[in-house]
Amino acid sequence: MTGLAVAPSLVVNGRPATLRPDRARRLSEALREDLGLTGTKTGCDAGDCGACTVLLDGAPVCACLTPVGRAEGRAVTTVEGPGLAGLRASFLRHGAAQCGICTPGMLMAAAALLAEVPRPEAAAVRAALGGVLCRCTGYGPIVAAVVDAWREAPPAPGPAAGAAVGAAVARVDGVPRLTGAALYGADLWKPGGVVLKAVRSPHPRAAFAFGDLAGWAAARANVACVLTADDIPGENRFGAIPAYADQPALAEREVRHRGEAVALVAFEDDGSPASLAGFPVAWTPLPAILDPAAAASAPPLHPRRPANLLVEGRVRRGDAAAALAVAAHAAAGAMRTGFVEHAPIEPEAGAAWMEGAVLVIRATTQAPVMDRDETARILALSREQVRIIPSAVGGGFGTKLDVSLQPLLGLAVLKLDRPARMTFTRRESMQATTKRHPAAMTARIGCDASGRLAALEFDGQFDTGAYASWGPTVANRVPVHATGPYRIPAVAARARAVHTNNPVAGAFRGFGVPQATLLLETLIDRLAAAAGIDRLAFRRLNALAPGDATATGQLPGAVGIGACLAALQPRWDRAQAEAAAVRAAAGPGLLRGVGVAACWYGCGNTALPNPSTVRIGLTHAGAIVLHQGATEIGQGSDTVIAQIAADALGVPLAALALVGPDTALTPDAGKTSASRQTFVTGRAALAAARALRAAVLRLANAGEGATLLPGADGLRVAEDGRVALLDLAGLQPDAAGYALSATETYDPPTAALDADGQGAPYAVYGWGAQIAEVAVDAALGTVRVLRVTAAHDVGRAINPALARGQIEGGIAQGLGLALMEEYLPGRTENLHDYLIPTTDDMPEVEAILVEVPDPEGPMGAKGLGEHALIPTAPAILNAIRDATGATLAEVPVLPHRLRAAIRAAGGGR
Amino acid sequence: MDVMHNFELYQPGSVADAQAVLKDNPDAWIIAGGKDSLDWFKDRVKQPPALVDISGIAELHGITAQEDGGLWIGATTTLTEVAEDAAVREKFPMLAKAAGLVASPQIRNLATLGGNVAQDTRCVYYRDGFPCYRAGGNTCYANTPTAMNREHTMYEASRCVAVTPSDTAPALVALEAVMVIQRGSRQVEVPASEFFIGPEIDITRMTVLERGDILLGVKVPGKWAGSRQYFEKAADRNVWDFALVNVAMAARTEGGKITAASMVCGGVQCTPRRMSDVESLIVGEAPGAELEGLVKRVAARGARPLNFNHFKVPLMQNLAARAVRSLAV
Ligand SMILES: Cc1cc2nc3c(=O)[nH]c(=O)nc-3n(C[C@H](O)[C@H](O)[C@H](O)COP(=O)(O)OP(=O)(O)OC[C@H]3O[C@@H](n4cnc5c(N)ncnc54)[C@H](O)[C@@H]3O)c2cc1C
Ligand code: FES
Ligand code: FES
Repeated sequence: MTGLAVAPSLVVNGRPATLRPDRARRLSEALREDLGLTGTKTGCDAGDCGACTVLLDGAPVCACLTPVGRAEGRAVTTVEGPGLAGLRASFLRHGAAQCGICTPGMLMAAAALLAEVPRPEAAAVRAALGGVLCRCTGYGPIVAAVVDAWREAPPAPGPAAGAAVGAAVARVDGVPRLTGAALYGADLWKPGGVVLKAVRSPHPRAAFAFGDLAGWAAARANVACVLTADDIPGENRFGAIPAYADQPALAEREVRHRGEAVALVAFEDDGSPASLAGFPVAWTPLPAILDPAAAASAPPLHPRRPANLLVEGRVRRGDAAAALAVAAHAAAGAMRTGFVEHAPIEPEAGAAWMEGAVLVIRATTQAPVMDRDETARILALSREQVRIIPSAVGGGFGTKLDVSLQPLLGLAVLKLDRPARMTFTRRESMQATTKRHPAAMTARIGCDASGRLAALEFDGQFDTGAYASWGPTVANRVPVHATGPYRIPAVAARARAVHTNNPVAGAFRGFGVPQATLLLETLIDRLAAAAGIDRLAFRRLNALAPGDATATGQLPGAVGIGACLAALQPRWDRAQAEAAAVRAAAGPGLLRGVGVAACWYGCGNTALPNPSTVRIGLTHAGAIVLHQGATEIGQGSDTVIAQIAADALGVPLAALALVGPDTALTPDAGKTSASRQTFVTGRAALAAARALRAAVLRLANAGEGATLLPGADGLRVAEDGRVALLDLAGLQPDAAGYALSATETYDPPTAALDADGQGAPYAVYGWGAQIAEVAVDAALGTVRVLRVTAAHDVGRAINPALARGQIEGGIAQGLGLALMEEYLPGRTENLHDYLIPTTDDMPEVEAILVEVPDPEGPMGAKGLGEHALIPTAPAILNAIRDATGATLAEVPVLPHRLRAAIRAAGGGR
Repeated sequence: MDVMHNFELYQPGSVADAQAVLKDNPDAWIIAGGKDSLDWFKDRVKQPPALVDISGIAELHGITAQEDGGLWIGATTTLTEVAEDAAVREKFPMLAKAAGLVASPQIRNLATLGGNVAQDTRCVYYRDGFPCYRAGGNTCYANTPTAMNREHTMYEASRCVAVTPSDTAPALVALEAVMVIQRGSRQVEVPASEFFIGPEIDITRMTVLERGDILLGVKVPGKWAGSRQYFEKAADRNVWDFALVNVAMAARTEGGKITAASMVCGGVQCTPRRMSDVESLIVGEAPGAELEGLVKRVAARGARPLNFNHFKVPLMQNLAARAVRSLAV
């Protein structure tokens, strides 16, 4: 029998390895910490995500729930192990890794299957991958990659010069995500530092007082220090929108939401248990506002925000009430949505240290420049004293736009003058970071006798939680988008962001628009029924056309909704016929339904500047370097922006050396949000590339038609059969240190909204529509989405494969919103009570890329990242109503809600 | 990185060795697959000083045929093995199905049948370390006017309203399995129907297992081998989710009539609930729409739902009716 003291030895990736003699530790931790095999990821430490999947004697297991003693004498294979080349190549071909944090787990689960079944069917793959969650891809590309892994396809040659845009090139950042080499927030740390743990509030609102902090710390050998708000040297406030910054890095005297941090403990990073047990803090719970409807009459949580109103946004055009009074048909209804958690598989994580006088923070983020500015302010440093280098980012979807652990890491490093690292537990990540706003909405919509929309009234209350975060953005964006992509002459729309003591609601793919669209699109179905018009025909009749003004009085540059709906028509006809046939043939109980919904979405900030700057340099050796600061969070910006730059320069994509975001090296490309990177940073890249090309041609004394030929020994310029090597050696380095460089900024032209919400809030809009086909088990109240057909106008598909990936991933999140995701503070703070879709929940997806070029976009391109999830949930609700007759006024449609709605609609038991 | 508490981990090679360790360390905690246990230790809700890993004990592992046509399934046989074993699939397909619907492939590869039946309840309040009755306190946090109790019980609540989350438990009760326990020097046999205990018997445990007991395995008798069987689970997510309600049924039919039936429902009571009313209703009858209607009427008789789990009543009725419908073809 073996006891505690013996160090377990095992075989890892074919080589013998000995671990620290603590046999009850998690295998995942031992692999990562003892052996430095950080390719094995941890997303939950609870068996809920599968990111930590490794093979134990060939069988996939969760390393987080495997004590190392169990691996004694056995063979462990991780993503760093041998034999994965074919799978990796297939993953790359199929775009199966977006952010890549789930990829090691997926590869290991797939490898185990392929060892038994070399050419598996899709169903077997889905079952085998059923224990790994992916939040980005919607699983389709992953399943396809595993099915196809047996095929030995030679790597596709890169596109020729000028042909990168429009080509489905593999991600330029793909390979490290497939080998386990990409370093995410939890994978980067310096030895000899400290590990940070935050002390968080168990109450939604409470006063607190510390006991003997020094005594508590002194009694524990591994506590280096305890830090509280009193230790913060600068202004203890952060917030995505500077005018509303109200959130402390560590709370002062009072906490305003469950999970808010009050203190930070730095533990020695030596593997000793980092236990907060007995931490001396006394809580005095205070009356909390948990119901946003009660917020108006409650004492304000923040000074200068009476009635707990953060921001109210409005759009008013024509006289909606009067038009509704005379409308031939009208529909009215309400919709409620809950908190939705982004659930990136990578929780917040990062590390920090000093390099000379500069605080370096490497953490997972979507907004490095904002992180720098806010961390500097909190720590009373200059911007130059803080350098943010994003780690690889394991999913964001909006939640990593706000600073989380950056100021905390910085505080500890400054205090101790030692490196520090911090990784949120899944529970912390769920408690402490932002959520999608819960909405309580009502609306009335009317049309004339021929089905033409006449008027819309919309009112939405959005629970913005304890702090401002992106609440103002939601309140302003929702009324602008309330009409959907439809021509409605009379509109009265307003949205209020209201403070409560609930979790902070912030940015989440769509900024409130998915919630509003749920109500609008379900009402449109009812209105179409009242008017006796087919639901798709009704939408086509009312879709905005070129020359139509939006509710803010703007004429969008390119309008693609008509083309998207037209693309769906044959699929709609097929789906309707199929559902009717199934209904006729099937027995009672299993019901089929079809639904459709549409969306539009403005790319970039709402009527506010949001510039991006891109630099492209030519070194004295003739190498071309693209500095682009758009943070890659899996959506593909590294690749897309390089494709644009390569074509504009006229060189092959492979000729560009890429420098990613680093606040010391890369100009500000703004944040990865609002579907703005392809459009805004893409435009800046286009301009910088054109400017550099012009400079090169000038230097070579060549005309516009000349060809640039990058090579290992320098850059050549060819014209009229003559080829000349550019002589760069003699040029003075410019300010950026290059022989030649170009730095260009682009800021989308918008016009501010007036008091009635009239103006031009966005320079570019994207458009889309989706059909959902569902099967409903009315007896159990469960729903299976069988197929989603999505048509999205992207203007120009810079990279069709990446665009499809965004669509599939958006659909997965829309499906979660519709059917299963609901965050309840204190109740669903893990990934088995908070459910996100698995492989088995995903429908077959057909993505149709529609290209109506926008004159403002780079090569016509529009944004897409957020659009894809907006129509999914309402299309599913419309399909459920089609199947059952049930009108749903709340999501997610869990079995108990669906049963109740079917009952209310007079359906059977 | 979630640093765990330091445990002593023992890995005995025999039941006798395991017993010796358990005797020397009265507070030691048995782990088999560790899938339930490690979750408990994570947030340090429970901190035993030592763990006894029984997964290496050969005599506890494996599936063997019994003389009566039934099977012996060792306690540390994994759920994957139970789900994929040819004999289990042939004789007791509903047990294979129940095991195959637990959690995810990765978890089933290490989780054991013994651990699955001996796992603790998933009540979120209890798991979160609230000082509830079950945890030695004097409140039930799941049974207050505002408590979230969608997942909780409808029958035989006694202070505590938690349910057993095990999917294999209703299948084993329906198959009239017998749990074999090593208690000191004795082997004790307990019918599955008595193995799971409710709060009225002992609020701190979900099973009859006492400290120091080792579940050796499960005898599934030949009685229901090869019978018509049905298992279905209703959950919020299609896979990798605990059941809201599940149903397990074994039955025999002859000449279009049901001659014998054993039906058990999970997720509605602290222990798997035997559907005696349904059983006596259907035996002697022919399956069909009429019988299904009657089944729905009696299936949830006596249910006393909490604030948020009324929907379990139709779930229970419809699952029972569907099980009966499966006998029609
Ligand atoms: C993410 C996740 C999802 C899950 N989903 C489901 C689900 O859908 N359905 C379901 O039924 N379960 C589910 N579970 C629970 C899981 O099936 C059980 O946790 C697992 O089967 C337990 O087996 P184990 O061997 O790992 O148990 P362990 O964790 O090793 O043990 C569990 C308990 O049983 C005791 N024990 C184990 N073996 C013996 C023995 N031989 N003698 C005495 N005591 C013993 C242990 O002391 C411990 O108290 C899920 C768990 C996770 C983590
Ligand atoms: S980290 Fe192991 S399953 Fe999530
Ligand atoms: S690619 Fe799967 S989680 Fe991001």
